Amino acid sequence: MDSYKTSAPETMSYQSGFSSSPLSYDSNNNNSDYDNSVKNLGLEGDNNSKINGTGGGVSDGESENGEFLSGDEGFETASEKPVVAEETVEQPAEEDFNDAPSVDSSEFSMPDSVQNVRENDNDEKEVMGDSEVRVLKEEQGEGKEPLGDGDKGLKVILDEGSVKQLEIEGVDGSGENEGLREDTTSSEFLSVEGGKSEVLYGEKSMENKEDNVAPEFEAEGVKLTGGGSSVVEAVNVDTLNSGVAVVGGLEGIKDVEIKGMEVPDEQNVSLENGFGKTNHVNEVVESEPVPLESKSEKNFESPTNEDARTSEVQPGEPEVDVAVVSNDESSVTTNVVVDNEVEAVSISEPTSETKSEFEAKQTVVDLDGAADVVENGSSAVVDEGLAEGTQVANFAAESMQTKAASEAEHLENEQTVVSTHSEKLEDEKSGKLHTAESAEVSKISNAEVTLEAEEGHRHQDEEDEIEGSDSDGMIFGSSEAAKQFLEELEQASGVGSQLGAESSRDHSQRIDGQIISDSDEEVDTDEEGEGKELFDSAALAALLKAAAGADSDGGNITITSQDGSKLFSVERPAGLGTSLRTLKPAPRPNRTNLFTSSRLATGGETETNLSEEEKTKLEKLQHLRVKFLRLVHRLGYSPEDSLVGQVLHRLSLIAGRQTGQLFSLDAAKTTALQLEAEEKDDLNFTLNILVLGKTGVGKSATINSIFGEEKTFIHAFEPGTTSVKEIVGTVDGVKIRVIDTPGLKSSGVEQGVNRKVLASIKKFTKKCAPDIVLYVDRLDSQTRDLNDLPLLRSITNALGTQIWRSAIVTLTHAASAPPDGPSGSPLSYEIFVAQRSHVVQQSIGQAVGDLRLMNPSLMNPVSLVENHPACRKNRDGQKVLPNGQTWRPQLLLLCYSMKILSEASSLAKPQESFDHRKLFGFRVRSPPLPYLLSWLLQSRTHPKLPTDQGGDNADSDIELADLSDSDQEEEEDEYDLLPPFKPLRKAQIAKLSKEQKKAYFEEYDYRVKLLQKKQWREESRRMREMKKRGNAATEDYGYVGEDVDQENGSSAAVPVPLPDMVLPQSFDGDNPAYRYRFLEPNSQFLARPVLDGHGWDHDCGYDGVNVEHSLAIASRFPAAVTVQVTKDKKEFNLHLDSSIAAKLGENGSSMAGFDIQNVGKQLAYILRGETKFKNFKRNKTAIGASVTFLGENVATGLKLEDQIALGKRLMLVGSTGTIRSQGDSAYGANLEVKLREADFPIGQDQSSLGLSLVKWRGDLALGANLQSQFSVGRSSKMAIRAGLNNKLSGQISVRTSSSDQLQIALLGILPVAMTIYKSIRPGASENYSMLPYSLTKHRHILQLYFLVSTDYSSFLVLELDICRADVVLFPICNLPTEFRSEQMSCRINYLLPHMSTTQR
Amino acid sequence: MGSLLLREWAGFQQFPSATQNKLIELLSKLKQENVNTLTILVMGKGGVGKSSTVNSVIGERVVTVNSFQSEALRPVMVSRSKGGFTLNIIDTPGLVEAGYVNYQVLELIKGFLLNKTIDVLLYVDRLDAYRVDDLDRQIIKAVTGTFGKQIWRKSLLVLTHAQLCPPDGLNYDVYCSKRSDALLKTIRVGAGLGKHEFEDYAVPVALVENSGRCSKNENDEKILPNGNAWIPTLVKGITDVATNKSKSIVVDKKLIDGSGSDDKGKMWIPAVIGLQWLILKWIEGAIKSDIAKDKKPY
Repeated sequence: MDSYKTSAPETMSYQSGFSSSPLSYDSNNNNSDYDNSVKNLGLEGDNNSKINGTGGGVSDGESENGEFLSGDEGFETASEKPVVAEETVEQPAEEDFNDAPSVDSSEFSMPDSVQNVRENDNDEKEVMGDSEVRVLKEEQGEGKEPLGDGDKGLKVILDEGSVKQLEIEGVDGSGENEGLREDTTSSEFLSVEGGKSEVLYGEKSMENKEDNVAPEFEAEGVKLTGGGSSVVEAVNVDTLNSGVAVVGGLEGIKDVEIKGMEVPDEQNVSLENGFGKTNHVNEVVESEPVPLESKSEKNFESPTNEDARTSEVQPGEPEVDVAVVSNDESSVTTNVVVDNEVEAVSISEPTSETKSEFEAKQTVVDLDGAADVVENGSSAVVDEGLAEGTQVANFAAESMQTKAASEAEHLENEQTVVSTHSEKLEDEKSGKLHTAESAEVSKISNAEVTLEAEEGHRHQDEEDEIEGSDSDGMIFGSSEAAKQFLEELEQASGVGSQLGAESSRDHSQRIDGQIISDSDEEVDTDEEGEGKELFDSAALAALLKAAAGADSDGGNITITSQDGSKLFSVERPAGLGTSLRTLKPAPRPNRTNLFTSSRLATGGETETNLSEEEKTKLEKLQHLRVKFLRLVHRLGYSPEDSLVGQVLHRLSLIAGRQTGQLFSLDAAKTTALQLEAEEKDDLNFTLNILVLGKTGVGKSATINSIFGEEKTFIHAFEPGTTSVKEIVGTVDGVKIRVIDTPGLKSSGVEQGVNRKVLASIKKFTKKCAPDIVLYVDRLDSQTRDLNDLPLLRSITNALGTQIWRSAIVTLTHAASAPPDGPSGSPLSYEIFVAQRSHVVQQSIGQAVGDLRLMNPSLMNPVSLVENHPACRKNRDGQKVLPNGQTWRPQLLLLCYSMKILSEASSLAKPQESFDHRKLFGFRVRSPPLPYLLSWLLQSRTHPKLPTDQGGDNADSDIELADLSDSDQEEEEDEYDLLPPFKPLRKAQIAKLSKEQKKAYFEEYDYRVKLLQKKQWREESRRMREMKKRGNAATEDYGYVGEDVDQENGSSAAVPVPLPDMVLPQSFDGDNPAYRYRFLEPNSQFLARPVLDGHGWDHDCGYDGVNVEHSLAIASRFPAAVTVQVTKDKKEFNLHLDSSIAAKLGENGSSMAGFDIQNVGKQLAYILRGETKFKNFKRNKTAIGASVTFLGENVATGLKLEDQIALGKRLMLVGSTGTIRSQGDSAYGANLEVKLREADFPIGQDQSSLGLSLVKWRGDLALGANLQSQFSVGRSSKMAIRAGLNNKLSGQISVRTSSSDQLQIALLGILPVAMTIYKSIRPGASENYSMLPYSLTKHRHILQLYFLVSTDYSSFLVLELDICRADVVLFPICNLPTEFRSEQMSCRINYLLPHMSTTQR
Repeated sequence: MGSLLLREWAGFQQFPSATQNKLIELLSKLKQENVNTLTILVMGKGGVGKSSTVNSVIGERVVTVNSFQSEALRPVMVSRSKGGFTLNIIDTPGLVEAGYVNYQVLELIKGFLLNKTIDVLLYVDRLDAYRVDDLDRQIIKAVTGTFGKQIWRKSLLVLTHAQLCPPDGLNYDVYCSKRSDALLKTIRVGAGLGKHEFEDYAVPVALVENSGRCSKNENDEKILPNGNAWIPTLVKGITDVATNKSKSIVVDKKLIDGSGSDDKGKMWIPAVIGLQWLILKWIEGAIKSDIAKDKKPY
C-alpha cells in the first residue's frame, strides 16, 4: 500500500504532466482510490483510466464514472469489484505497467483511495457474507450484471486507450488498495468525468465483447468521450478523475483479464497515448482505437476471470483505465462531460465512503443540471468526436453483432436468474450465479452495451424521429414517465442512502447507482439527440424519450434485482457511451419491471380482471412481440437495443397497463428464444417495401444490398430501372417484396413524366399495399433551394400524404466524406448526416403541406445506406458506415419495427386506421383558439320582435333615431315638390348633346336618390307606427332577422313577408338570384344560396344553401335560426346559428345562442350568451361569454365589446376577448372603423378599416384590413380590399364592375394569355402554388381575372398577393393559385355558351 | 487599374511551391499572349461547389461556403492581382430553385455583368452525380439564351467532387470520361449546337476536388485519384480557353436586352393587338345583333 501511495504522488505528477491540468492529478489519485475502494482492482482500473485520460485522465475518470454513475451502483459494484479487482489488478497491473510505466504510476497513486474503498467494500462483502473475494464475486455476480455493465463501461473507456492505463492502474490498485483510499475524494470528481467517458466507453465496450469489434467500439467511445470532453474540461479537474476511477474499478476488473491476454501491446499503445496524448484530446482519440481492441479482449477474458479468478478480473479494470483515456475525447465534447461528471460525482462519493443517500441525491441534481448542460452542450463537440470516432464506430457496429449473440445468452442468464431468485435471493444468488456465470454474463452484458452504444447514435436520431411521429403518445407517456422518473430518482436516492447505511445490500446500492446512471444516460442521450438533430422540438422529443426511459428505469429500480443483475449498469455504460449515440438506453430489460411496477402502481390489476376481448388483444400483441423479438434476434440485435426497446415500449403502451405475467416481456423473450433455438421456420412475417426516389440515387442498388445479391440491374449513367417491378426475396426468413420504381425527375418541367410513373406505381400499390416506403436520396448531394419540392409534391399528390407516414428517408452514399464546414474544416459525420436529414425532412414536410409534418417530432426516420462495393466491411462482411454502424440490419430493423408497430396499433384500435397522430393522441390537441376567438369577438345583432324592428333598440345597428322627423318632412317635401320628371328613352338620350346628357343624368340620379330615400323613410315610419301600436299585429308577420341583407340596401326593416333576393338590374345568368329563386313567398323560412364573398365576383361556385327562420317564442322572445350547408368537392360544412333574445327594458337586451360549426373535421358546439346595453345615446356596450365543446375539449371565452357612433357616418367598434382551453389561452382585440356615405342606407359607398390582434402561445399576430367600396361614375363600381398581417402576408384585391365599359374586357385577354403561357411553362404556376406554404423570398403576385357577363357588363378582378411565406401562419391568401387558374378556365368555358344562348 | 481596389493575390502564396511554379509559368504564358486581365464567370446549379472552387483557385476563403444553405444571393466578384496580372472571378448563385431554372438569378447575373468581358465561363457540376437530367439541359439553354452560343467557345466544364471511387468497378478515368461526355452532350443539346459545330467548340473538362480531405502528393499538391495535381490543370484549362481563338464575350446592353429568351415573343405583339381588336369587334357585333333580336319579341 505504501508503495502504491508513494507511487500515487508520482503518478499524479505524471498524469498532471500528461493532462497538463492539475485536475488530472486528482483524477489519478482518485482513480487509484477508487480502485482500492472498489476492491482496488476495479478502482484502479477506473483510476488508471482516469489518469490516462487526464493525460486525458479526467476523461477516463469520467468514463469510469459513467459506469459508476449508473452508479451509485457503480460504487457498490466498485466495492464488489474491488475484490475481484484486487486479485486481477495485481496480475494485470504488472502487465500494464510493463506496457506503460506512467500508467503504473497513476495506478499506484490510487491505492490510498482504494484502501478506503476496500473498507467499504469489505464491509459490504462481509455483509454479503462471502470473503472479500466472494464479495467481489458477489458484486461481480450481482455485479456481474453490474459488472457486465461496468465492463461495458470500462471497456468503452479502455477503448480509448486509457483502458490500458487503467489496467495497469488496476493492477497496482489491487496491490495498493489501501493507499488509494485517500485519493477517493479527488476521485469522486474524476468519477463525474468518468461518467462521461463511460458513455463513450459503452460503445467501446460493445466492441470489447467481441474482440475484433473492440477497436470499433473504441472509436465510438472515443467519439463520445470527445463530445464529453469539452464539458469535462470545464469540470475536468475534480470530477473527472474520481469518477473515472470508480467506474474503472468495476469494469476494469473484468476487462483487465482480457487486456492481459490479448491487449497488452495495444494497451501499451493506449497508455502511451494517454500519457503523451492525453493532454491532447484529439490525438488520444486517434490512438484510442487500438486500445479499444485491447479492451475488448480484456473484457472477454475478464468475464471468465471473474468466474474463476479474480486476478483476471483485475486486468479488466486496467482496461477501464484505458477508457479513462477517453478523457482526451472529453476535451472535445463538453456536453457529454457534464453528464458524466454528475454521475461520476455521485459514484465517487459512494466509493470513497459508504454510498449515501447524499450521493444519490447529488446525482439526481447533477443529472438535472447535466441535462441542462447537455442541452446547452455543443453538438459540435460531439460531432467532432463522432468524426474521429466514425472509423471506430464501424468497428463498433461489428461488435454490435457479436453483442447481439451475447445478448441472447444474456437473456437466458437473466431468465434463469429471475426464475430462481426472489429479490433477495436474487441478490445473493445473482451474486453467486453471476460468479458462476459471470464470465458469460459479463460478456453478454458487454455485448448488450456495445449494441446499445452502436445503435445509440442512429437510434437516437431515428428514435427521436420515430417517436416524434408516434411521439404524441410517447410524449404523454413521457410526461408521466418524467414524473415517475423523478420520483424514482428520489426513491432511488433514498434507497441508495439506506442501502449505503446498510451497506450489506450491495445489490440495492447497485441498483440505485444503475438507476442514477440510467437517468444520466437518458439525459445525455436527449442532449445528444438534440445536438444531432438540431431540431427545435428535438429537445422535447428527447425529453419525452428520456422520460420514457426513466419510467422504464424506475420500473427496473423497483424490481431491481433482476434488472440490476442483468446489467443495468451495463445499460448505463451503453447509454453513456451512447450519450452521443444512444438516446434511449433504458427501456429494454426494464420493460418487465415496468410492467410489474406499473401493475403495482395501478393497484394490481390482475389477468383475471381482463375481459375476453382484452385477452385476445393481449394475446395478439404478445404474438407480435414474440415475432418482433425473433426478428430482432435474427438481425443479431439484442432486446436491449434502444430502437428495439422503443418498439417494445410502444407495444406495451398499446397493451395498456394491465399486462400480466403471461404477457410480460420476459415471457415473450423466452418464447422468442425458444422458437429461434428450435429454428422453426414459422415466422409469418412479410414486408412490402416501396422504393421511391430521384433517378440515380441508388434505389436499385439499395435493393440489391438489402437482398445481398444482384436482384436488379443497375447502371451508373443510365436509368437502370425503366418500369415498376416487383422483386421478391427472403431475408432472414422474412419474405420481402420490394417494388422497385424508375427514378423520378426533380425538374419541375418533367413532373408530367413523374406523374405517369407514379400512376403506375399506384396501380402496383393497390395490388399490394406497401408496409414501408423508402424515400431514397443521396446523403452527399447538397441540394438546397427546395430543389426536390416539385418531385415531392408529385409524390404526395399521386400517392397521398399518408404515404409519408410509413416512409423512411434513406440516404445512400452514406460513406461519403462530409463536406467542409463554414470554418473550412470538414464537418463531423454526425452533423453532416443530421443536417442533410433535416433538409430532406423539411422538404418532405413542405411538400406534404401539412405543417404538422414540419414538426421535427413527426419527421420521418432516417436510415443510412452505402451500396458501394468498396465500402468498408466488418468481419462478418457487413458494410460499415463511417460512424461505425452496420446499416443493413439497422435498416431492416427499422422496417420491421415500423411494420410491427403499425400492426400493433391497428390491433389496438381496429376501427381506426394506422395513424400516428390518432394513435398518439393528436385528437387531444388543443382547439384552434384563435379561430374560436374570432368567432367570439364577432359582433352580433340580437334577434328582435318585428314590432321592435326599426326602433332604436339597444341592439339596433341603424340609428334610426338620428333621423329627425323634421328632416324627413323636409326631404319628403323636397321630393314631392320636384316637378314631374319623365325619363328619356335610350334613343332619345343618344340624341342629346354632351352637356345635355350630363345635366340629364345628374337630375336623374338626384331624383332616383330622393325617391329611394323617400321609400326608405316611409318604411321606417311605418315600422315606428307599428311599434307604437304595440304587439297588435305581431303574429301576422314573418320575422325578419334585422341583419339580413341590411348591407345590401334592402333595408333591414321590411315588415312585409320576406322579400326575395334583390334581383340585379340587368340579367346575369350567374347571379344566384336567378338560379336560386325562393318560390314560396309565404313561407316563414328564408332560403338563399350561399355566396362566397371571397371568391370571384359572380362566381358560379354557389355550393351552399342558407336557410333562416325567425320566430317569437311566447310572443316575447324573438329567436332566429340560421343553417348554412355548403358542400364542394372536398368538404362538407355545416353551420348552424341559433339565438334567442330577451329585451331588458329599453336599453338592454340579452341573447343566448347555440352554434354548431365545422372546425377542421370536427364539429364544434358553441354555447354563448351576451348582454348589450345602450348606455349612452350613441354608445353600446356588450358583454358576452361562450363555451365551446370541440371533441374532448372545452373552451371558455369572455368578451367585451363597445360600439360608438360618431355622427351618422362614422362608426367605431372595438372588442376584446379571451378564450381559454386546457390551460392554453388566446387573447384578441379588434378595432373597426366604418365610414359610410352620408345617406348610407341609400348610398352604398362605405369603407372600413379593421385592426385585429391575436396573441396565442406567445405568438402575436397583427392584422389590418381595409375594405372600401365606391362607385366610379354612374355605371361602374369598384371594391378594394386589402389585408396585411405582421408576417408580411396579405392580399390586395380590386374588383371593378361596369355595365358599360366593355373595353375592360380586353384586359381579360391578358390573363387568358397568361394562363395559356403558364400551361406551356408550368414553372411559373408551380411557383405560385407553393406560395401559401413556403417561399424563401418575397413574392408579389399580381393576377388579373376578368369576366364578361351576359349582360355585357364586365368585371375585372385584380388581386395582388403578398406573401413571405416562410413564416406564414395564417395565410390570408387561402385560395391556391392552381385552383384559381382552374376556375379561370372553367369560367371562360362557361361563359361562352351562355353568351350564345342569350344571343339567340 | 484601380490598384486601390485590387487586392494583392495573397492566396497565391498558400499554394505549394510546385503549384506556384506551374501557375507562374501559365501566367507568364498568358502575358506573352498579352492577356493581363482574366475574368472568369462561374455558373452552375446550387450546391455543386461553385464557391468552393472559387476559393480553391484563389487560395483564400473569399466566398463563404455553407453546405446546407444557399450561399450568395447575388453574384460576387473577386479580384486579385499579381505582378500586373489581374484575375477576376465572378461567383454566382445557383441557377436552380425549387426544380426550375431561376431566371431571376439569371437576370441578376446579367445585370451584374453589364459592361464586363467574360474571358472564361466555368460551368460547374459534380463528378459524382450519375445522371444528367432535363434540368441540366434547361440550365444550359438558359445560359445560352442569356449569353449566346458563343459563350460555349469560352467555357470550361468543371467537375467537382472528383475524389471518388467509381461505382460498378469502373476505372476512374473511364468513369470521368463517361460522366463528362454525358454532360458535354447535354451542353450540346441544351445550347442547340450542331454536332460539327460542337466539335468545333470543344468544351474542355477539368476535375476539381475542393474538400479539405483531398489527398496530396509529395509536393503537398492536392491531387486527384489519378495522381494529377488538379489546381494547375484547372488553371491551365482556364488559360487555354482564355487564349483560344474565340473572342471573349462582352456583355453589353445589347446582349442583355436582345438575347433574353423571354423576349422572342415580341414580334407577336402587333398580331395579338390586331386579334384583340377583331375579337372586340366580333363581340360588339354579337351584342348588337343580340339587342336587335331582343327587341323584336317585345
